[in-house]
Amino acid sequence: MFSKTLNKLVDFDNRWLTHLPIKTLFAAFKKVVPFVIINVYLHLVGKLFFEPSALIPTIFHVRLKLMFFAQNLQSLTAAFDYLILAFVAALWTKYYLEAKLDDLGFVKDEMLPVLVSFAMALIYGLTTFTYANQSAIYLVFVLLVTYLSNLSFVYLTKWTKGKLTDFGFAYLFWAAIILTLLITLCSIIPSQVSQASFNGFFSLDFFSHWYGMIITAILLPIAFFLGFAIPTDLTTAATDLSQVNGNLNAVYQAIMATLPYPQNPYSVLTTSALIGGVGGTLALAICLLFLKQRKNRRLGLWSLVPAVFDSNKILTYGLPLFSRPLTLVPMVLASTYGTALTSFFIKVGVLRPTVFSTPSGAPHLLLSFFASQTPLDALLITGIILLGSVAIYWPFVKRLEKEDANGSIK
Amino acid sequence: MAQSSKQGLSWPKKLRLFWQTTARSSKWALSLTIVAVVILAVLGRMWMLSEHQNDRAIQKSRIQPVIFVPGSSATIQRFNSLFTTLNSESKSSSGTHSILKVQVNTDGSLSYSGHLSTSSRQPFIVVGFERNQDNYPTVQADAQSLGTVMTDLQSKYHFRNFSAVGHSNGGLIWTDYLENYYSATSFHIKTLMTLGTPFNFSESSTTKKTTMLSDFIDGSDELPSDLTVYSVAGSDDYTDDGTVNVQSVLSGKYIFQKKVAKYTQTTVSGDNAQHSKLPENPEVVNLIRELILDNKSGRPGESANKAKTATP
Repeated sequence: MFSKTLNKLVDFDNRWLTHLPIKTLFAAFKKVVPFVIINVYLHLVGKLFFEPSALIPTIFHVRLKLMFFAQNLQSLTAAFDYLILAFVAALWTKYYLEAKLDDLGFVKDEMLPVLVSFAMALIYGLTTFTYANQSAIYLVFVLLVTYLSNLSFVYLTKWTKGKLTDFGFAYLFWAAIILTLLITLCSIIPSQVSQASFNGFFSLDFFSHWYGMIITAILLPIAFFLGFAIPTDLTTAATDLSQVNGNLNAVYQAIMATLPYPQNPYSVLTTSALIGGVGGTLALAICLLFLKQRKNRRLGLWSLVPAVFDSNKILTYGLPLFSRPLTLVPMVLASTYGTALTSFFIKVGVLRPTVFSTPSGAPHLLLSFFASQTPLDALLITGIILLGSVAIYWPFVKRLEKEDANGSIK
Repeated sequence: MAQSSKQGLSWPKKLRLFWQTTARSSKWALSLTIVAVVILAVLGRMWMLSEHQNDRAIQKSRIQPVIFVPGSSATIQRFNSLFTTLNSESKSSSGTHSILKVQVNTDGSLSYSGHLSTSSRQPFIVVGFERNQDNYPTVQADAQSLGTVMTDLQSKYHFRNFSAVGHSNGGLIWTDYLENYYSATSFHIKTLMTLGTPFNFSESSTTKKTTMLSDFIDGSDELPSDLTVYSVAGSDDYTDDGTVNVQSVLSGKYIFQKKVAKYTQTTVSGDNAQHSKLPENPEVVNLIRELILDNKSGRPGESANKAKTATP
């Protein structure tokens, strides 16, 4: 039964990968992986050592007086984030147009649309720039406008039967229209759409019940699959939620008080569904270490430490995770499994929820051990969740390697 | 053949075989990561335990000390007379205020004297500095030391809310501290009262700003927005209190006005309005009692409002 379903999923995944836009997008993703690795490790250093109340200086009681360096590092890594996606947009345009125009029998210089795509990604990055995190719709928006721009270039070339001169007036006029439209679009997008924080929304009563948690656990990997960033209210800013503050006040009044919101995004989702990032991808990084192909193992090696600290960016670009049906299914399963298990143990009273705030950068893997009032039970349950997630990912990862070896993605 | 022999094995043996056939680099990476995570877990948990016991104590603490900082060339004994007056008045009502004195020595070490009783809700703490010359670098250095003292005091006595009084350069030290070292997540300052504080040092012109005043104005966005500030000037001969020019004291408005919740300037006069005697001035005592201490009874017939009208 499981084998049949997996086969069907693999067939669907293979068919999905044969679509030219997807195939060329994944090729562009894989090309920027070395940049992503540098970027992720720079982020990690900043997060663990230099952020205000960073984990390592805090627990070692050291005060690093490198504020200037820290701010520069933060600016550098934030700019790097935008640059990587600009490279992806440019490379995608190059690969897609090369193949598409070749199919149509046109020989064209793709430099202009490549530059337009690069500029579009940077323009949107600059208009929504924040040091802390990228806008929630950054990836999906940039990829969507890049695709539309590529399509318009193809249609213009088809319409004019390839007679226009490269970098001639008509193509330059096309580039000017595309960039003007993008700038207009950027100016009319409400900030509420592009922001990455929705504190009021996640403080709603719906997110204090097991069903709210389960639905969110299912939707998170799907949103990630579609290119939406995960709201910071479920990660770094989870302790700002009103449910968490309510619990904290209760604990400060009486240490083993009955908590008003035992199930909340911080105590359930952050601590169990997001171990290693969306979809519990620490388990995926571990699985990659045990694969036969050296290339996959290398990806696992590079992504392991960042995944411990909840960054799955290397996997997002390297496998890739974004827009890949074969990785979406185990992500949803692992996310739901972790959430259901934690929710159940809190409900039956075995586990005291995660209540306290932890130093910035504390891994979700250890969050419940650090901040629950039953740390050993919490550690045990986290271990069960991690092992279960590894078991969920393993058959999918094996098939992924097999399909990769068969040359699904070239 | 190999597959069939593998199928006959038990689970532990299968796992062992699986581990043995795993690449060496993967084994090393996984093992080292597990060791690092275990170390992080132990240290992190220890930190969390100490931190949250402290947090809980701070949250539950009811004491709200009044912290006094003397000016240049003054010792931690500067406010003795003021404390005697305030304690003699409050014996009959809310009980006396216990007194703790902290001296910051030149080498940065702290010397404690007196005691702080948690039964008195508003104990007095004096923070004095052995290095107390009348110049801007000293003010900056003392403000940094004040940050260290505050953290040390909080870890010992678990308070969050406090009020502050600064006499002369003590007010400058508080201002520098609030702009550069105060953290609203750790503390909550309710009221700051400065007594004869020369915000523009000896400069009497309102158009000429010293480097210190310019720095304070530049950093004023960092001041707590819910703070109440009272700036008290002494007037001995209509222009100064014998040491500090009234105009320099009034320059505080460029720092605090529109940046904090409430900013009030008051001038006191009379026999005890000389700079060094400001802390003993009856009007100042009354202002502290009414505006800083909870005991608002005061002496009949004397009120801060009356003092406010005592401008020349």
